Amino acid sequence: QQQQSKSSNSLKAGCTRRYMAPNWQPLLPLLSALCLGLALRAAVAPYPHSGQSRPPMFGDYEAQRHWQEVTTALPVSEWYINSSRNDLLYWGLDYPPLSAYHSLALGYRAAAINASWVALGSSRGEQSPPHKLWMRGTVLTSDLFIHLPVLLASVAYSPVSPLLLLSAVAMLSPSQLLVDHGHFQYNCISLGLAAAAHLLVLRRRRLLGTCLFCLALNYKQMALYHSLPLFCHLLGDCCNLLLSAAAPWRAVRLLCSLAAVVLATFLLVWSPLLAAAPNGRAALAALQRLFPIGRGLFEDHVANVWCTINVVVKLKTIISQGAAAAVAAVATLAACAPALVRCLYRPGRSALLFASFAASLAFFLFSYQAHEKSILLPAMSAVLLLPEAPLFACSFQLLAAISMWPLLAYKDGLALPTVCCAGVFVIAVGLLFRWSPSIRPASRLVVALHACLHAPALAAVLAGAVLPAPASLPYLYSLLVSVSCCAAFCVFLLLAHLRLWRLIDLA
Amino acid sequence: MAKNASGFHTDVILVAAGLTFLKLLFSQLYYSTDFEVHRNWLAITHSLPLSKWYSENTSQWTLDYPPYFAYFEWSLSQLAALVDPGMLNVSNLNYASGATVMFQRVSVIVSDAALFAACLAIVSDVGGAASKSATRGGRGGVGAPALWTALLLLCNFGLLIVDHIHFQYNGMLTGLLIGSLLCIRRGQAKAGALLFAALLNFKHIYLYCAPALFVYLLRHYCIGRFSTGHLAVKLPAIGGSLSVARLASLGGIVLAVLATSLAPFAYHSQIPQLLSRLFPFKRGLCHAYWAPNFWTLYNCLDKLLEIVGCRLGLLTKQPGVGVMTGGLVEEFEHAVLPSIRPVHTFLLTALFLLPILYRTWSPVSGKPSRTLCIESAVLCAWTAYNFGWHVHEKAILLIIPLLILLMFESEFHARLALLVLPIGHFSLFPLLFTSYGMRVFS
Repeated sequence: QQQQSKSSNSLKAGCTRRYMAPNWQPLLPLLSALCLGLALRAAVAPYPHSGQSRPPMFGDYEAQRHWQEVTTALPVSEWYINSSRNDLLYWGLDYPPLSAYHSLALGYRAAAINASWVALGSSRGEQSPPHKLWMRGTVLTSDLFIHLPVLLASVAYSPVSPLLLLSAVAMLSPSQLLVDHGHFQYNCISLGLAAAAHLLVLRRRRLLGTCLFCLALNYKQMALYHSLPLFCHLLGDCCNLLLSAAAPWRAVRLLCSLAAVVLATFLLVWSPLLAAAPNGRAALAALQRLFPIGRGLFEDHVANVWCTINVVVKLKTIISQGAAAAVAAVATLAACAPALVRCLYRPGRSALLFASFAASLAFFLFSYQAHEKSILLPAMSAVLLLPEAPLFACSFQLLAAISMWPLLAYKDGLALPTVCCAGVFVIAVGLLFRWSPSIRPASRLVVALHACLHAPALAAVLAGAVLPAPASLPYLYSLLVSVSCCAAFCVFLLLAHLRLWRLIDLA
Repeated sequence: MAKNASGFHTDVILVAAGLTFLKLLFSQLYYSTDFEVHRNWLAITHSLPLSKWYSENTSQWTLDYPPYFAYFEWSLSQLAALVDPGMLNVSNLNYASGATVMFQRVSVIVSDAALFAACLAIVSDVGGAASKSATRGGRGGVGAPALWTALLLLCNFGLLIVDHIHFQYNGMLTGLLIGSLLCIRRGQAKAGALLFAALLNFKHIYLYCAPALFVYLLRHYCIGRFSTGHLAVKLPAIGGSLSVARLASLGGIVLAVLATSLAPFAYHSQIPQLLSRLFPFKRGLCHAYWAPNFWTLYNCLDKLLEIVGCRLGLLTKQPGVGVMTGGLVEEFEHAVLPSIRPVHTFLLTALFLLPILYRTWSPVSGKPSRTLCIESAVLCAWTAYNFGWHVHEKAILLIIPLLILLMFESEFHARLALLVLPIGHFSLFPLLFTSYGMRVFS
C-alpha cells in the first residue's frame, strides 16, 4: 500500500509535500473480475428458470413471486398461517421473516411496475418476458451488492498474484451462479451475509459479524449449517480471553455482548411477527413452517449419505421418522465434532474456514431433509478457502456443480449453461495455476487424485447424455451422479478434517 | 511465468477454449435478422444452381456478399443437409428450429478458428515486439505484449457481440485480415496479397483498406534496389527500380483469386447482376442506425439548421425532406445543406486519402517502419468509414482489431487505442438494444 499525502496548506516556506495520487491499481483486477462475474450471470439469466411453463405448480420462481403476492396482500399475522387467502400447499412461505420482508419490498416494487404481477390469487403462473427480466434483475442486484463484494474482499488481500485470475475464479463459482441465476433463488443474500460474518469475525469485528450472521440465519434457516463452527470459534475466543492472565472479565464481557447482539437481532427481525398475533401465534406458525419434521429423511436424489445407503438398504422401511431424525442428528454431530473441537481449542483463520467447510459438508451429508441445493453452503466456504487451499477449493466447487446436474439438466433444462459455466470455471482455474507458480499443485499425483474424485460423476453425466436410461430404472443416471458425488464428498470431508488437525498439507 | 513464445501458445489455446464455452452460452440468447439472412443464403446456395444465386429474391435478404462467401455458405449447406434439411428450403422464410440455430451458431464458433490461427501467429511473431520487450513486462504484469495483443483480439467485445449474439462471420474475416497484414509486415508479400485478395472476395467491405495496401506493396515491395540480373525498370526519380517480376507475381495472384471467384459467374453472364448486388447505391447516405461518421454530424447540422430556420421563419418545412431517422434505407434529400450523392462521398474519401497514401508512399523516416502497413490500413479504412456512402456501424470492426495490433508498439498507439476502443464498442450498442430485453426473455 502506498502512502498518500495530500498537498497541504503548504504556506510553510520551502516545505511543500507533493501530492501523490491514491493507488487505484489493486482495484482494477477486482473490478474486472466483478464485471466478468456479472456478465456470466447475466448470460445465464435468459435460460429457463425453475418450473418455467410447467403448470400447475411451476417452480421456485413462482414460489418467490407468490411470496411477493402474499406478503403485499396479507397482514403479517397471516403470512405463515393456512387460510383461504393463503394456501400453504401452494408454495407456502417456509423461510424466516427476513426473507418475507425482502419479498414484501420486492412485491411493492413489482406492484408499482405492474399490479397484475402480484395480484392476490389471479397472478399465479405469471412469467411474461418483462416480469422475468425484472425478477432476474432483482437477483442480479442482490448478488452484486451483497454477495460478490464480500467474495472479492476475501481474496483481495491474499498475496497470490495475479489478483485478476484469483478474483475471477472466486466470481465464477458455477454452483451459486447456476442456482441463483438459472434455477432462480436468492441464496446470494444469505451466503453473502454469512461470508461477511466469517470475514468480520476473523478480523476481530465479532459483534458486527455475529449480527450479520444472525441476519443470514434469519434470511434462510439453512445458514444453520455454518452456525456451529462460528459458535465454537467465538466460544474459543472467549475461553482464550478467560485463560489469558490479562483480564478474565473481558471474556465475560465478550460473551454477554455476543449474546445480547444475537438476542437483539432476532428480536428485531421477529418483532413484527411476535406483535402481530396474541400468544405469538404467528411466530409459532412460522417456526413450524421453518422446521418441518413431518417430511422424510431425504427427498429425491441428493448426494447425501442417507440417499446412498437407501440404494442398498431401504431406510424408510426400517426406522420410523422420529428415530431417523435422531440418528441423523447424532451422525451429523459426530461427523463435524473433530472440526468443532479444533475450532474451540485454538481458534484461528484457517481453523475457522476449514471447520466451517467441514461442518457444512457434514451437515449436508448426514442431516435430516438435506436438499441438493444445500451444497451451496460448503461451496461458499470453499470460495473463502481459495487463497489457502486453491486446488482443494476449486475442485470442490466443480464437484458441487456436477452434483446438481440432475436438478439443473434433467429438471430445469439448464444443461447448456451448466456445461458452459463449468467449462469457463475450469479454464479460469487452469489459467490461475499457470500464472501463479506459488499456488501450483506440488505434484501431479495430487491433481490425479482430484481427477479421480471427479471421474465417476462425470462418467455418469456423460452416460446420461448419451445412453437412454432403462425403462425399469428411469432415475438411474441421477442416482449414479448422486452416489458418486456423495463418495467424493466424504473424501473431501476427510481431507478437511485431516488438514484441520495438520495431519496433511493441502497444496 | 512463461516468457517464451511456446508458453504463450498454451495461454492462447486455454483462453480460446474458455471463449468457446462463453460463445456456446451466448448461442441461445438472441435471434436476429442476420440469422435469417444467413439461413436464406444457405438455402439459396444449396437448392439453386450457380446461375441463380445472385438473381434470387424470394426473400428480402438477397445475397450481397462476393462469391467466396457464397462458396463458403455452399460448403456449410452440405453439412446443414445432415443436421436439418428444412433450413435449406428457400421458401422456408424465418425457419428457426433448434437444430438450425445450434448449427448456425456452431458454424460461427468453428469459423473463428481463422482468428485463433491469427492469434497464434501473433504469439509466435519472431523478430517482432515479442522478443524485444519480452523482458520488459509491466509492473506485476504478465509480460510480453504479443500475448496481450492476441488475448485482446480473441476476447474482443465487438466481435463477440456482433458475431455471437447478433450473428455474423466477422471473426473469420478478421482472422484473414490480420493474417494478411502479419505476412506483409514480415515481408511475405505474396502470402499477404493472397490472403487479402481472398478476404476481398469474402466481404468487399475490406476494399476500405485496399488502397493503402496497394500503395504500400507497390512502393515497399515492388520498388527497391535489386541485384543486377533481376528484371526491373529503373526509376531514377525514386532512386530504385520497379521489379517487374514482383509486380507481375502480385498482380497474378490477385487476378488468379479474382478469376476463381468470378469465372463461374462470368460464364453464366451474371457479372452485372453480381455487381449491382454488391454495390447497391440505391440505398441512402446512412444506414438505418447511423454509423458515427462525418455524415452523422452533417445530418445533425442540417436538421439543426432546418429547425432554426423554421423557427425563424426563413424556411417552410417540406414533408419528406430531411427525414433520416425513419429507420428506413432510402434516398433522401437534405433540407438546408446540399444533398449528398455517392460521387461526392467518393471524391471526399479520395481527397482525405491522399495525405495517407502519400505518407505510405514516402514515410517520414525514409524507410518503412514496422507498423507502417498496419497504420496506413487503419487510416485508410477509417477515412472510408468516415466519408463513405451507406456505412454500417459494424464497419468499426475493421478498425478496432487493427488498432489492437498497433496498441503495444508505442505509448502514442496505446493512448489512441485506449481512447478509441471503448467508444467504438459503445457505438455498437444500438445493434443490440432493439428490445433486447424482450427478445431475449421470450
